[in-house]
Amino acid sequence: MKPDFKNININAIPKSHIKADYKPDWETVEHINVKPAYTAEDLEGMEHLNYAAGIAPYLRGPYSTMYVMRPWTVRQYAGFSTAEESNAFYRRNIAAGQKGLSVAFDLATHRGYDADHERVMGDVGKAGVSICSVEDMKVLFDQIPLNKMSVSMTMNGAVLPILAFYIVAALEQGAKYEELQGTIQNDILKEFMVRNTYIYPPEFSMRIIADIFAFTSQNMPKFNSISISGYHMQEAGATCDIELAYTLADGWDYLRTGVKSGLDIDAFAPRLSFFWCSGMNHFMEIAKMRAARMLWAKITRRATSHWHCVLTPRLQDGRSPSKTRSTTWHVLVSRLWAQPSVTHSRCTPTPWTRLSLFLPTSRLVSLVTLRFTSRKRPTFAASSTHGQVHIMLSH
Amino acid sequence: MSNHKKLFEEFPPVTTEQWEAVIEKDLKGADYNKKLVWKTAEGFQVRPYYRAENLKDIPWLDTKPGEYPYIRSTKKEGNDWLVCEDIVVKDYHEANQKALDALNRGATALSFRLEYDKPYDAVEISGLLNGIVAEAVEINFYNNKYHLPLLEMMSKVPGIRGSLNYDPLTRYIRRGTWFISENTDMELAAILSKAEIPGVQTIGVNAHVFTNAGATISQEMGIALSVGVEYIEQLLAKGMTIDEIAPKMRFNVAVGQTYFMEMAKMRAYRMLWAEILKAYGAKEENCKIRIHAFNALINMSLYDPYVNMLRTTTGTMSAVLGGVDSFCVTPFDATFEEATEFADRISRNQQLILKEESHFDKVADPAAGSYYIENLTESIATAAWNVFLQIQEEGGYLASVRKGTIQNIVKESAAKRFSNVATRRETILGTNQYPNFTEVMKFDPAEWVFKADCKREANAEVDTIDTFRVAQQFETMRYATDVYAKDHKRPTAWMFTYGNLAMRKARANFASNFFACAGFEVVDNPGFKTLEEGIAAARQVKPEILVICSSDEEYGEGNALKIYEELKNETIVVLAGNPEGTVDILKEAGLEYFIHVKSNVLETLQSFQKKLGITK
Repeated sequence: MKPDFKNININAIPKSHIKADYKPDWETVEHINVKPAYTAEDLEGMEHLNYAAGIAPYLRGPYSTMYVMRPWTVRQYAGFSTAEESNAFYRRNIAAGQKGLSVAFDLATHRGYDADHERVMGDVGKAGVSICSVEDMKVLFDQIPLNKMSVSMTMNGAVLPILAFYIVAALEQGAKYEELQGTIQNDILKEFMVRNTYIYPPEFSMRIIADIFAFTSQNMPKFNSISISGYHMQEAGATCDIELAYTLADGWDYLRTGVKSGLDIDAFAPRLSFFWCSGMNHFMEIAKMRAARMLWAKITRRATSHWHCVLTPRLQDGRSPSKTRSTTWHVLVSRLWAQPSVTHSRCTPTPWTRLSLFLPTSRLVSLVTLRFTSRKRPTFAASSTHGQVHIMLSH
Repeated sequence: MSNHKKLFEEFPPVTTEQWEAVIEKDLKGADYNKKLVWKTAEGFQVRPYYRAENLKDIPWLDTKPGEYPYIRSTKKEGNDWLVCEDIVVKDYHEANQKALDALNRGATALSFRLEYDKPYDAVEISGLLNGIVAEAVEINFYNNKYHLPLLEMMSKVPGIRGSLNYDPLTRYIRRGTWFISENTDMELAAILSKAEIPGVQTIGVNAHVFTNAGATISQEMGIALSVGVEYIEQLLAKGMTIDEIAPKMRFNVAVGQTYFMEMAKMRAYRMLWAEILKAYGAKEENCKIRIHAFNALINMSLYDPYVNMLRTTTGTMSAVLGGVDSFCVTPFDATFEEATEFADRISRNQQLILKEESHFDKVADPAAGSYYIENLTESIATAAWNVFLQIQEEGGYLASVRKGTIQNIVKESAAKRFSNVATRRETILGTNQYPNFTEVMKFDPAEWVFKADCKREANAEVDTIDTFRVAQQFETMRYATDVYAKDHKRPTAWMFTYGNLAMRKARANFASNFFACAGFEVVDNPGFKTLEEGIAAARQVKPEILVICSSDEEYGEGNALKIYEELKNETIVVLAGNPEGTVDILKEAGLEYFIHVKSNVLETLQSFQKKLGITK
């Protein structure tokens, strides 16, 4: 006898009679223990379940509806040989739907040498584009409206001349300071730690950074004056918790540098951005982005009594797709890496909100806190200004 | 977890009112529903965010993995799935070598695609399985019409697990005929299913047929579940019990591009099938659905074929996070050739990477508890159940097929998809949006590549459905240009850019993307300082199509009209944009072509091809 399906209530689910008793059977490289299944009980005591997007601590994103209203910027890190060739490449990409640019400079430019200097002969135009002058920069952005296009520049050591070239090139196009949008990496601390294209000693480098904060916060309100980078740490072997902790600690030092040089933290903190690596451990990476936002909110909250503590994360797939290395396989792997950052796509504020995810989120948060507080500060930052910071915090 | 030190006490929980207030502000007066609510093809709406309170009415949150109705997986712990590889069998010895190679490189299940009307003998089948340890692998057969002898041969393999995939019911809607007759075909279903080979499922409900013929997710599910119920009814009538029938069935499901929706689909399948079986009185243990999944072909493309790898990667992720039992990645070149060794290797590794490097196998039903995915699961289950009930109301699957209702449902959705692709409401990357400008077809694709796959037989008793790919119309169009360009100059669309930098770039980009979809050569220009300079340059280049790209204001100043008047006898003049007011003036002057976001890309480009003599 055929059942009368009309009378079935598909939502009449019998009460569970299995007791949740799952034992962890996987330890991640972050030393987080993962169970083979999670249930609602695992959420008990979680602090972050009722956080939102667009409201501190920004667990579910810095903007209230995230990608539903404003999709993420599609960028491709690129730069080869000459300004002309890079320019042509950028224009092709823009035509193919790319919404932002990400400029890779060659090592000679990074280290502040002209292309004809004998010490850098082998490096010119190799891992990025060679830019020696404002004229080069104008060629690089020819036909690319800098008042509309968000430009990210990976530049740390030679940040002063490169940023100046960019600004002048934009002004000569007719753009206004306040229209310029994008990011300059300007993260010297991780250069000393892992990337190594610094030019000046730490104290002087930090002063340059403070000057850039001051200038951009006054004149270029849409421009991110620094991209505090965990990316290179993961590429140098860091696990997710270490990447997160050390990078946030760098962020803390930059906050302090700005404040020390007399800047109002509310003026420059909102323009600090972060740059993370998205590795292969899918859920861990998703959790990392979420944990990063909460922790940075906490850190900036400590540094200011106001609410200007939005973490604007930028994310890059591992390794640059420079001409020679982009094999088909690479395409695939990159796709996968990109997933954690974009899975939030349609229904945004992070659809992965609970069970299995919350675990890495929560565990990462505590691990990162541990590493953050116990991190041995780089010696160059040791002339600590805790006293000052505390004074600043107390009002 | 509850013993954690509190880290975020300074941040109080956010209320929905607070959140909505911020959204309200960010909308800057825009309409909430228009801007933020997504109306799906399945007919339900998706909100811009979900939060804890949206879980209140989800009734299954308390259930555990491995527990009826199995929304949270049919397995109790972990999320391991079988990595399946398709082996096309032409020469059984070669196929055997290929199978062994796949197993050595990480596959844990095999699908042998046999020839349709070849009667295989025992020597061939044992040769095909030579060296394969049946206990360690799942072995599935597809496509061969001699099911009974095949099952007999399978039964001789000790410890065999796998499937036979006998499915006369979906065959009926594809071909319009039975193998022999309804009664004989169903009699055979009973004979096959009564055979005592415990690890082998005999019936394979080919849900993918409906997906690849254009059905929405809820339609595909509702129809496939009705197919399942039709088998149950027929087999019960042949004297089997529900607990004998249930373990003999499996569902072969195609997974598409809507990432979260596809994930929810797998969860909803498990729940609805379990509830159907329970209604028949099956034991809970037998209410577990078995889902084998693979990537749908319907949205894969011929041009820019490596993009298919990206498509199949997200599809695979949906399916395995949704908790399927086994998965087979459709090779990226399936749209135009029999998979090469390279394509097969990438397909296999797409799964292995998710398992070995991204750890998708570690946790059961990782989507559980996600505010969004739980709600999506409920929406999809409800929508699918409604389709199912509608079919039952008409007397079930076969009755509906005889009336043509199911065919109509599917064909209506298919037509909608074609129109959505033609107008870019649905994107097929590299085909109707962001084509690869420099790509030229390097080989002559076979005829089937461009055509719907029609299996209808001459003596069909009912209306039938065809499977197809939504990109095919664009591909046919672009390929016509490629063929034409073999002995003609490839037509050029030339951008007449002037004035406002941002607008002229935006419009030149739009127009370039537009014309490249038809395989036209696209030439962008850096922006002419004067109209005269541009007109002179155009006269020198002599493009077949000239696209005026500037701002609405500048169009309004009579510039566009001037360009048109100057060049209308030398080239086809097109204007990028739809500038209010100016359009009428230009139309009056005789300018016919305006391309903008509301254009039907396909029809517009086809009309240019005709005008240029590429097609008739």
